[in-house]
Amino acid sequence: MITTRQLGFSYSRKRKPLFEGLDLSLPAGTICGMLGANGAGKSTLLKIFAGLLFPQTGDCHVLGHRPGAREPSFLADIFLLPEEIHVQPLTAARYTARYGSLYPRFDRDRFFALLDEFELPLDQNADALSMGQKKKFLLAFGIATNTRLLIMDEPTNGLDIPSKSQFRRVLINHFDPARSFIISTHQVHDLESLIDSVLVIADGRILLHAPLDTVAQRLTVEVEHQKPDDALFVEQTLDGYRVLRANESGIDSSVDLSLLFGFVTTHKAEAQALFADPAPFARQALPAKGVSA
Amino acid sequence: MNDIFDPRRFARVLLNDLLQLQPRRVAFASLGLAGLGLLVYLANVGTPVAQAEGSPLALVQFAALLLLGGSIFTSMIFNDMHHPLERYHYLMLPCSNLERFVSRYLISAPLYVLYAIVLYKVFEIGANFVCALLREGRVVAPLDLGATGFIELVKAYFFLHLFVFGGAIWFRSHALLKTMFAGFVFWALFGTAFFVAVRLFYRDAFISLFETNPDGPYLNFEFLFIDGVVWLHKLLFAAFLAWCLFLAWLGLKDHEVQGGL
Repeated sequence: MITTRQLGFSYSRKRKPLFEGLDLSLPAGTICGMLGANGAGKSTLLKIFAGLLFPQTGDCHVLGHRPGAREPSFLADIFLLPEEIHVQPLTAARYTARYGSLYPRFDRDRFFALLDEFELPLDQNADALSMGQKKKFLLAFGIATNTRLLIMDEPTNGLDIPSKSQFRRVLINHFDPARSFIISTHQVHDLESLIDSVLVIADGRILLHAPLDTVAQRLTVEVEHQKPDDALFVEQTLDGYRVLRANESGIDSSVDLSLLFGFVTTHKAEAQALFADPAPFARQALPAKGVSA
Repeated sequence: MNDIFDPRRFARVLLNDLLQLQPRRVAFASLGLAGLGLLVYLANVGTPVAQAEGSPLALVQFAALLLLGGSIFTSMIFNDMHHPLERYHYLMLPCSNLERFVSRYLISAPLYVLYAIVLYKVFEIGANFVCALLREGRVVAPLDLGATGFIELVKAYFFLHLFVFGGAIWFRSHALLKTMFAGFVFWALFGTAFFVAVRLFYRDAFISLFETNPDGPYLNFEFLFIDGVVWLHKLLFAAFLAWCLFLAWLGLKDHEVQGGL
């Protein structure tokens, strides 16, 4: 679905390149969580995928298109939910009439069903909604466009706790294998029980890109009262230590994205060695539809 | 799906762009302009100039609406593309660059001229009705749409529009002021280059930078203005306009993304 080859990008010639020789291959039909600290280059990479920024070296192909060409057939097949959003001063019905027809597979009924699920007022102009409601409005529109790729940049920023659960539930319920979702965030807990593959970016490099199943096979998470010496990564909590170790039991463990992120970004060499031969990407099992995340 | 120009998609883009102008705001702006115009009519209706056949008052007032109003309007036509938040919506809409370009061009050039004519004619009827009531039946001579002055004015708008339209694409803020400044710099440089070139190529015709040589050859550029080469003027002018439009188009392609993201 997305491939980059030797991709290089810099905002300015004077500054160090943000990406240099980046190779990446994201398969279709997954919900991929993109993790990284502030300034790691998550948003930049998403903008390159969306055709809003152009790579200076190497190339990038998304859904068989070169995003930089910004062809309407490409733009009609992706939807970007940016971190900071603006919505037109229109009601849902007018918004649909104006912009829905530009997306060949737009599903009006699904849009209104989602607005109903998000409990958004239908007769109010979208610009008068709160920030969280605006995000939900655009997310509902993005899902209803039925584009093959839905890119979300920090979608849970500005959402309250019930809305975050609602967000996860809606994404899971409206995912189908013909589509792919990429969710970038630095709030790792928002992605738990939602994504099926993880991509960790730091310093313009891909530190990890693996299916969650592989992560569960190779790492295990335990809670211990004493700080261990043999752990790959340890995070102190109020009731002890959350400990990350290599999984040698042969039984899939649960995945703690926060620990995983900490381990991968602080122990780069060990992480690379551990995931040097990730299992090939296959369609990952998703929670059954209708499950409350 | 045609990736360059699709008539159905273009119709949707054009309609969206028109609706985005917000009819209520346009109506309020029109009423405001009509109010100002009425004051000018009332102040001048008694003068012979205002009542004379082919009165310049209507033409001058229409010129202000067309040139000034049109320039301000055109300079803002790509505001959504430059706005840090609105630009995502503008840029991610599935339509081609050509469709965006043509749609905004049509709105700010021919459709604006049409709007200005209709607005002025409606205003004229109302304003002259009020003038007749308040000023003992005296009215201002109507705007003559067939007059040479009117046609020249519309041509001038289309010419001016090209620069302002290009400026609206290139400059992210204060587009009109920056376009005026860029235009001033361009013509100043062009004039200077011409001035220097003449002095270099016809060195014998001058004794200093500003003094001609009385014994030197007589420089006669009148051949450039005789009727026989009018077609050449028109061709060069058309090429210049096409070049300006092409520059604006290139600007849109390059400028719509990358900058400010």
